[in-house]
Amino acid sequence: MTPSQKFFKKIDEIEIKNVSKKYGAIIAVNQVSLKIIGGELLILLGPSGCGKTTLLRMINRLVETDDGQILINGQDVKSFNPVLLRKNIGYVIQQIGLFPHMTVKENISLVPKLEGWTEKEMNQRVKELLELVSLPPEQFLNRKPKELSGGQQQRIGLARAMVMDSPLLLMDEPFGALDPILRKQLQEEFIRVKEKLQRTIIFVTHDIEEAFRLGDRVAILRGGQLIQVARKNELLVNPANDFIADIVDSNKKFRHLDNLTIKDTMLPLEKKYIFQADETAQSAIQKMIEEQIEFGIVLENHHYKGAIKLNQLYANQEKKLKEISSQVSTYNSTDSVATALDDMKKNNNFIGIVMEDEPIGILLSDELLSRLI
Amino acid sequence: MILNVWKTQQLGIKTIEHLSMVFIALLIIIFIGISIGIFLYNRRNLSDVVLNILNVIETIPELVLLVILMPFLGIGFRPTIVASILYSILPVARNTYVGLTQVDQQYLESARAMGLAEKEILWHVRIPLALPLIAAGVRIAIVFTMGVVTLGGLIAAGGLGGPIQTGIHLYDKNIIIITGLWIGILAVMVDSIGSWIEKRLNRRYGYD
Repeated sequence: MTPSQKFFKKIDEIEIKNVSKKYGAIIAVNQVSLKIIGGELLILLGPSGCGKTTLLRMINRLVETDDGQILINGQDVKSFNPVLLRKNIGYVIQQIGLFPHMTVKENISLVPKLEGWTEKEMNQRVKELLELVSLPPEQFLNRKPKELSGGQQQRIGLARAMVMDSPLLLMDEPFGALDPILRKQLQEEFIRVKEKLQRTIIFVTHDIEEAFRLGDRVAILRGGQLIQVARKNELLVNPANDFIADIVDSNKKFRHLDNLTIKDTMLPLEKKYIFQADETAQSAIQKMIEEQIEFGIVLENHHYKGAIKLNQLYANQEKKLKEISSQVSTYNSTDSVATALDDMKKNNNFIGIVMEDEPIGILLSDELLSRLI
Repeated sequence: MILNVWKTQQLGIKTIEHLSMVFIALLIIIFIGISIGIFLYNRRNLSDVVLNILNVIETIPELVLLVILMPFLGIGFRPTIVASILYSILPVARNTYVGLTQVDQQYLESARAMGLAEKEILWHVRIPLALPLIAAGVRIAIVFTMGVVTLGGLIAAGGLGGPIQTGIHLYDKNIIIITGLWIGILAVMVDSIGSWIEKRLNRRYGYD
C-alpha cells in the first residue's frame, strides 16, 4: 500500500467563510466567518449547543457544510477526499475513543500500520510520542485502555492524534470529563507539548478558565453565531457586548476581588487525594487509577509531608511515599488570593496546598483571576 | 449395564460420528452466518426481510424440516447437515449484524476522524468489537445443531440418534436412557467449551 499524500506541510491560514449548517429546523452554525492564523491555538468557546463542535467537525468534514466554504492554505476542504483529508488532521475528543481491543501501541500505530510503515518505524514513533506525553514507554506500550486512568487515556488519545505528524490539530473538550486537579495537570502538560510542537490547534471548550489558560485567541459563539474573536486581554478589557462581559465576568468571585481569601477559591481537600506516608508507591498507583486522579497529598500522622504525582511513582514502585514525595508550595487559608496567585505564577506552580493545622484544601492557579488582579 | 450398552451400541464410534457432523455443520454455519451478517450490514435495507425469512425457517419444527428436505437430498448425512445449517444460521447472522451495527459511537467517531475508510473501520473496529456477540450466537447454534444432528439419527444419518432409534424399536429403556444422558452430557461439555471461548473473546474484545 502506498502512503497517502501529505496535503499540507504547515498551516499558513485557515479561512472559514460564511459557513452555515442546519439540522432540520435548527440552525447549528449560522453564517460564521473566521480566520485562523497558522501556528496559533484558537479557542472556540461557548455554552453547549452553541455550534462550536459542529464548526470544528466541519473542518475535517465529519460534518459537511450546507453553505459557505472552509479553506486550508487557500484550498477548499471539499476539494480533498475526506478520508485522506482526515489523515492530515489530528483529532481528539472528550470520550477519547481508544479502541478497547487494542494495546496502547496498536491504538497509536493503527493508521501508520495501514499506511505500510515498518515495525521498526512504528516502534520508534510510538516511543517518541509516549515520551512526549510523559508516559514511560516500557510501562505503557502493551497495556489495554481499560488498564489506564482517564488522564493516561487522554494522553494516549493526544499521542494517537499526532502520530501522522499533522500540522493541524482539532480538539473537542479533551479535558472536559476529568477531575479538576487532573484537568489542570493535563492543561499544564499540554502547554508544554504545544510549545514543543508548534502546531496550529483549534480547541473547543465551554470552560472559560481553560480558554484563557490555553488559547492565543478566543472565539466566542452563541446560538450558532460568532460573537467576538479576540486576543484574551481584549475580551476582558473590551467585551463586544453584554453576553461576553457576562461570560468573562460570570463568576461571582470577581465582584469582590479585594476581600477574597484563599478559602473562598480553593477546592476542599477530598479524601481521595490523601495518602499515608507508609504506603508504597505501587499501592498509590492502584488507588490513583481507580479514583481517576494523578495528584495526592502525603500525610504522616495528620501532618503534611509532601505531594505526589502519578507519573513520578512508576519509577519507584517499591518505595514508600514518604521517601519520594516532593514539596509543593503551601499557603495559609486566610492569605489573600492575589498574593498566593502571584506567588504561584512566579514559581511556575499551578498547584498549591492550603493549610490550617493540617492540609484542608488545594488551590489551583487561576489564569482569569490573575489577569484581573 | 452402562458398559454393555456402550459396547453393543458402539457409542464410542457413534460419538465420533456425531461430533464430526456437529463440527462440519458448525463450520459451515459460522461461515455462512457471519457472511450473511456482514452482507446485511452493507445492505441494511435488506436486513428486516432476510432476518424475518430466517426467523420463519426457525419456527419450522426440526423433524418437519428434515422431512421436507428428504425429497431433495435423500436420507442420511446430507439433509441432516443442511437442516442444522438452516436452523442455526439465524442466531449467528443476527448476532453478527447486531454486533456490527451497534458498536459504540465514540469508537466509530475516532476511527473516522483518524482517516480510516469505512471498509477499514469494518475490519479493524467493527468486527473485532462484534466478536463477543458473534460468539454468543455461535453458542446458540451449537445447542441447536446438537439437537438436529441427534434427530438425523432417525433418517439414518449416523451419530448418537441411531442408538436412540434402536432403543425405541426394541422397547429398550436402558439404551434410550443411557444414550440420552450421554447426549446431554456431551451437549453440556461442548457448550462449556463454547462458553470458555466466549469469555476469552469478551476479555479480549469486550467493552469493559
